[in-house]
Amino acid sequence: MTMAGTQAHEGGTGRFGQLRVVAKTVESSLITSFLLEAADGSALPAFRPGQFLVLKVPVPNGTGHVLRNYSLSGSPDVLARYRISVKREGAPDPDVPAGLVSAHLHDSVAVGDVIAAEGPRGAFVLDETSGRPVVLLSGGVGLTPMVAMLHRLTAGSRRRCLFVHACENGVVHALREEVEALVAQRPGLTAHFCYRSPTEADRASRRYDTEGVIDKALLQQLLCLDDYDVYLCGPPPFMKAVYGTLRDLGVARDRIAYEFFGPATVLDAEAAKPEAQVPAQAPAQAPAQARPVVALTGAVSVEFTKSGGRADWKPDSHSLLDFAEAQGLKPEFSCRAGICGTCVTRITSGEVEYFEEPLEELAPGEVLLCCSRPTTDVVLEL
Amino acid sequence: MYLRNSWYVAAWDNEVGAGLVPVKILGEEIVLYRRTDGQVAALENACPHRKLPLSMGRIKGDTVECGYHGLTFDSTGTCTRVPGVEKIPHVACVRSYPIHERYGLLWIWMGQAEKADPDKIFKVEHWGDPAWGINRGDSMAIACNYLYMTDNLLDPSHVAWVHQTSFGNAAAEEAPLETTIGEHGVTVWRWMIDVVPAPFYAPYLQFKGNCDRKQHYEVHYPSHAIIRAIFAPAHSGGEGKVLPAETFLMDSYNFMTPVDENTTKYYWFQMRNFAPDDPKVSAEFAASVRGAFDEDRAVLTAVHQGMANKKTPNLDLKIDVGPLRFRRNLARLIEAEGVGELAAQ
Repeated sequence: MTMAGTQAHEGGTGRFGQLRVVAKTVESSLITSFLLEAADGSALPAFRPGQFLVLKVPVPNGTGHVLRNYSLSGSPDVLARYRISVKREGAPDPDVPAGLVSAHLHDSVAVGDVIAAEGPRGAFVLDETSGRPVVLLSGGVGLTPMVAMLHRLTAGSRRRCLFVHACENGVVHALREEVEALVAQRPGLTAHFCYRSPTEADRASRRYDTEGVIDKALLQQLLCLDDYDVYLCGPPPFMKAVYGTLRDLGVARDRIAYEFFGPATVLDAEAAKPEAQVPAQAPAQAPAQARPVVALTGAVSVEFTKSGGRADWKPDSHSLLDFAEAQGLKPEFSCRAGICGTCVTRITSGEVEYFEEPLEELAPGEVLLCCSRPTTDVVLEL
Repeated sequence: MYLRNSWYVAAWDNEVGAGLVPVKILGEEIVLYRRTDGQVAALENACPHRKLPLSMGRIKGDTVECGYHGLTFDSTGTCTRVPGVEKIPHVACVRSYPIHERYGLLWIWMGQAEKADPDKIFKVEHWGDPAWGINRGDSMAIACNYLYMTDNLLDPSHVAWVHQTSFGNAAAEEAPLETTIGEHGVTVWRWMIDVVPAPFYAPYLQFKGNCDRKQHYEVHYPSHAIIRAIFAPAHSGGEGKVLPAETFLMDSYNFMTPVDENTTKYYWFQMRNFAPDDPKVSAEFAASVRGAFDEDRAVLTAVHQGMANKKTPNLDLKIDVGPLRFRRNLARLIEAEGVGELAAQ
């Protein structure tokens, strides 16, 4: 799985800047938007539609901080302020307090507060060199990068675009008016909203187009025969289902770019590793993500318990194996490509991400050094 | 372990003439014969009475008669006669396998018959293209597990050591390999820029001097490979480039049929983009390829023995990425097939 490994090089400075919250808007029962400006009044860096910010948020008990990614949901042509739209999360797994970061943002962060943020970054971006018509497919809070892409397609392009969004109902549906206003601005833009369980109010006001989920019949009805660039973002079950449907409909793998909200996984079961030309390999976007993302600040430390050393991870290291060797250690290795298992090492604490999927599943508490990089401080029995 | 819902080569079409032809595929004994309309039939090679191989019997019209007591079976495996018995028990039947002729080969479907779709037979590009020549293939049995052969056909680097007088030379020793995991299998490939042409290909190249060479080793699940050899004039090659007209292209098709866990039947032919009607070129290709595959046979037979009897651990190296990813994915497909069969029961 190369997804997690490649994003580190797609933009970002590695330094956290200070952003001030200048407005906070409730978009739906679950989603709230934050408008952010540079705290020192300086200009914000431009971003490509689809990119995200990395937010560094203190944990409530004061023992440190965690990192979360949030897609920029506003227009990439408005650089006075950024917008992120954050979903209040439940607990993604039993070990993590329910929506630690999102709850903090929703409940504790107020207008005037300052947040540490890094970016924009991320490889899941609108390919603006292509002239093909575009399909933006989102589920739930996965619509945020799509709205940024729609802004750019509305203002800066003549390409046809179909914006398809699936969610539970109108209560949780965010940014509906904004999307409707955008697609009304020029011909060739269409929005389609698909509610799984519309409320009575939704039915009365016909605020949605179809009831149910995005399935093959719906996509066949919405898409005339053409060669599309498809962008896909949402929670894993949605992504798996829609990706499979797109492939069934004959959409080539290299025409589908995707980004997960929640833990990244492999969409194409037959192709355990996406081929090189798959345009987007950014990792989990973050509201639902349980693990902190990679930090490029140099703040991640790698500790070796057997040899007694500790060093700051160097972001340009190819792998933990290379890094350990650069520190003068001599771990056993053979393939250096994730298949032989020779460099397997116990990890006492911390998390790594794999830029090559290990051939065989590892036992809990084991890492392969040759194809991984740390995403948090790590302690290795080396 | 084998993937059963798949087409395998059972024989060359001219190997099945007027007689009964016994073959063994995925550990199953099968008899092949032609019906009077020329269609080939494939039946379980054991009479249900005392398990005498039907291949020891006789062809009677469109049916096969057992050589022990005359039980007779049609091409669907249905028993049409039990001498001395009025009512034929319906348990008296043999399994029949879907079989399909294509590219001069007989393709047999070893899984659930209702899933046999001839569209899933391995695609041969340029088949019937008058601009392309073919050296009609050959076959051999190799005393090794078929996965050592898929390893070999995902391993462009071995040519530098196993095939020094034909496909390989020093240029093929160090150039880095790319591995692409696709929907149907795995491809390992590389371009080597401005290198000396390997000995086998050099006489056929329509340009002088060094070449850009691509090795493209693509194996599909379960065990079918296309090996593409591309030789373009130096500095005209590279991924995605439009190659000049004088570029040499050879597509080598390699179909492996597991006989059992320790033996593999290997079928092949080659297509080339020049000299379509030149029997001399075809004969030279056939002889050279056969010679090279004999070199593989010697190595793979010994590798199978060496791995089966190893006393110390073996190593996996970076060159094994493609072969081992292929094995892992195939194992997953085989496992999924087993789960599916259990669910269906």
